[in-house]
Amino acid sequence: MKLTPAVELLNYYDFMKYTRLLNDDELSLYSLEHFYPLCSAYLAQGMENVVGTYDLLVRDAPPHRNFLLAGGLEAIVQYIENWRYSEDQIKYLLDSKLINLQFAEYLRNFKFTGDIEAIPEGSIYFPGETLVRITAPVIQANLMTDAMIALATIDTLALSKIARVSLAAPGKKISLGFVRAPGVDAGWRYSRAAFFFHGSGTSNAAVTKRLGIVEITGSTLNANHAFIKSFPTELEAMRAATKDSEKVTVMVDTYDFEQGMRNAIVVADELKAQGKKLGGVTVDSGDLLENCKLARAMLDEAGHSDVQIAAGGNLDEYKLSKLVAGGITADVFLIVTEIVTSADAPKLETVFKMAEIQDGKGGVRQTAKFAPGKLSLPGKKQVFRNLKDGIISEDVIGLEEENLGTPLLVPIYRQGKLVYNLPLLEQNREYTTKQLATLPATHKEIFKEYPAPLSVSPKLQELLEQVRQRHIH
Amino acid sequence: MSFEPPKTHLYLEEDLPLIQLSHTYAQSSIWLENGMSEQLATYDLFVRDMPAHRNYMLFGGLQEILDWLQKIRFSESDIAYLLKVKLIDENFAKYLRNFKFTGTVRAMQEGTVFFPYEPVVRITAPLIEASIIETYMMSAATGNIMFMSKAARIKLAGQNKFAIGTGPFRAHSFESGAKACRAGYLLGMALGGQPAINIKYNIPVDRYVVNGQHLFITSYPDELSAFRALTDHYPEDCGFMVDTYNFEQGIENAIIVAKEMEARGQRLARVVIDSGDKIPRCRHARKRLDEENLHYVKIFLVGNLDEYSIAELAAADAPCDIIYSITEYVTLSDSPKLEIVYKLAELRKGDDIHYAAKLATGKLSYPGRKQVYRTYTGGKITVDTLGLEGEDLGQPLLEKVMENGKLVNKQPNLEEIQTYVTSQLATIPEHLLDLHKEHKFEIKISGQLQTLLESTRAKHGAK
Repeated sequence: MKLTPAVELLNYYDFMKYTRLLNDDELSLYSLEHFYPLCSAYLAQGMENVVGTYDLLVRDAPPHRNFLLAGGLEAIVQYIENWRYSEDQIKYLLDSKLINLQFAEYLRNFKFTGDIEAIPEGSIYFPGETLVRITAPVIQANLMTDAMIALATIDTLALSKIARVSLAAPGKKISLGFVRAPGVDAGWRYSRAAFFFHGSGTSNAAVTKRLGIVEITGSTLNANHAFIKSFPTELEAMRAATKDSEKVTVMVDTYDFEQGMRNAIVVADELKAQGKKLGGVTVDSGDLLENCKLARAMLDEAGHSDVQIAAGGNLDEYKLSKLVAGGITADVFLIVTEIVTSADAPKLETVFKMAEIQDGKGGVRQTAKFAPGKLSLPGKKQVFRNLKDGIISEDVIGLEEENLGTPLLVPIYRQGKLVYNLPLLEQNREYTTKQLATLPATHKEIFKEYPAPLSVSPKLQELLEQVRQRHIH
Repeated sequence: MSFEPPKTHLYLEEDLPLIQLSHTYAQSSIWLENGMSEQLATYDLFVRDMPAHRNYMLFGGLQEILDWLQKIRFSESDIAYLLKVKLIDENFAKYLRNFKFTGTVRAMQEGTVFFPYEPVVRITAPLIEASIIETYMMSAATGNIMFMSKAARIKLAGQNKFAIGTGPFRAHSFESGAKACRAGYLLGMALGGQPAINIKYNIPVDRYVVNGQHLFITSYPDELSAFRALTDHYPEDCGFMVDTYNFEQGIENAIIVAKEMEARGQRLARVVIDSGDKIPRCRHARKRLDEENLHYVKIFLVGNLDEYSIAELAAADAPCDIIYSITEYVTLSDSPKLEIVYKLAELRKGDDIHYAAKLATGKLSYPGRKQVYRTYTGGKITVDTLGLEGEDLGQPLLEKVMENGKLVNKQPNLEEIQTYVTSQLATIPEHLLDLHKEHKFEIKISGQLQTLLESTRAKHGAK
């Protein structure tokens, strides 16, 4: 895979104009209606300079996940870089009586001025840990809440799901298709995430074009069922599909699997006689283990041991893991629906919580939420990681000034200025590969669940108790 | 460190034409070379299997699909890329430069109740055109169908005992969040009120409701001063979450502030409960508010609610006024997958008709130009028959919406779709409305279609 140099800064959601959904400019009004009058109230009460520290995090571990991979940072940076309010938007908020004139003026001059720390994308992340920490005027932090949650959620979901697929099928090629995602946007996020893992990706031309990938691997250049059906016979279709490209794989189960294999071998023989070769065959129905075994045997017997086999059909990490354990003779796996919907765990309880407030006059107060099952931790926190022989032994959530391991949160913004170099795709892939290698063997398991090796420092627990006593009498 | 423009992996509007699977370009190139580009293809968009926990589906996404079909074009940059990666040849590049969708589209109306194997959209267009629109069309239909089908369940679970609302929070991206809101609106839900979404879909808002969230409340030294700050500033239609610290205490604080407002001639609109055991909490809140003569203060419920928990609240006659289903709805948490497919059914070259079917185990597709026929008894759906066009087996559900690339009629607005959805929900047979049990509604295949399938099967020698 070759990558072209970085492309220019993009307006994140421009495409949404096309689909009549949300584009970049419109996203600044993505916040829930409550936030505008609440922020208007802050301003009216002279709280413009009151600064809060907030945590964006995943609160609960989703089912079937022993770890998550941190996601969303790149998208969050894009969002912040493009964050402003147009006159039309301000007029809408005024007409809706959500804001007053004073706040309208504030929005006209809006600029993000806060500090942000975040866990880099592709890092092993355990729910409960601060994923992104924002220290900013309370008005700004409130206005960004909903967008931050949306951005972190989808990328974290996508990376975490595909990580499991890559663990389930080590050494195999993975090709992702996004047709059945709940939207083009979601599909796109999964496609991007696929490139974080060695041997995995998508051949979707829109994605590879944007990512700057100019060598599309042949594995998913399928002559699909529609193509096969468009010719009077399967054999004619296979001949036409493979005439000019050694990258094309042919689907062999449009009509009858064994007959399809025999036809593919006829074509492979013909190509061989011309000094060319068949790109591969694709099996996407029936018993994959048996069908791939038969396909391999038939190909080998006919002297085509160099012809690859791709397998697809409602594959997820569970099925893949069993197929790999069963010694499946496929080289490439096609993953679609189950992956791009995170079907086994579609919910991520991403939250954005206040942890500390500075009144602008030197006073600092830590905050927490005590609603049942929805506890949040107070104070300016850091996540510390400890490794033993290169494997994660323990993560500790502590206070910033503590020294309990390697800090995972790194500076992204200082006073509204971006101070972080977003990694290139290939850097993300290298980093993610190294991160996955730090997982304990237990946590790599697909079928069993293990608790996260995570604790809260005594100092932080003490602070939580102090805050509890202040609010609950 | 200095500012570096992000090396983005995000995409632009102009990227969309290329979202079609890359093999389609390679295949289309071959079709063009083989002189097959003028063959008229008929494709069906349909759902193969009923999703888990669903007994019926509602069709959605037609407006988005029709928009796309009118707009799709390929830029020089797209074409240059396809050439560079050797997916197409010069001949096909020329074809793409003049690309425009010129086909005819038949579809169910948005909001129509439908079942697996029934085409919701049928495209008849030159082979390449019909193929190149596949991925976008499937993506557009997937989200909209899933959201509308789930929204119907959530709406019906409340038995009209309370209003139902939703919002895009924690959706799988902005786009699916916005679609979930649109679908919710079509089912008569109140929207959480992201202005961006209301503006986008032109959804009218009389007045935005404002609730003090945990984030706002924790920013004040204590709960009472947070409540007061909000009611001072936005007294017209406001409320607050009462469970930031301690629920009972939160209700008492709300009562204090409500009385202060009364003294100023104002009224507290509502309290919001977001956690804990919802039924006893609603009862406690109602009881305390009533004891203080605050009968007008409404109770909002939010927090991890779906059709199952809403049905429990309805069965218990929980004294709340509106229930928001958000995360569980927008993530389709009980049933996130839709096996939507787009299958070639027929190819015509002049009078020469080639019928196409897929015969793979468990993945059957039917040949020919099909229609879905529906019959009713007492206003309820009794039989759906998948037949060939021109048969007389009931009310045909597929209507012509686009001809030669142009819209046939003005598309309905959201309020018109809303009315239609309501009338469609009334046609669902009672047993299919069961939230907890799955009931299969078997559609019939007409004799003519069955015969055509058999002759196609015989031709390809499948077992």
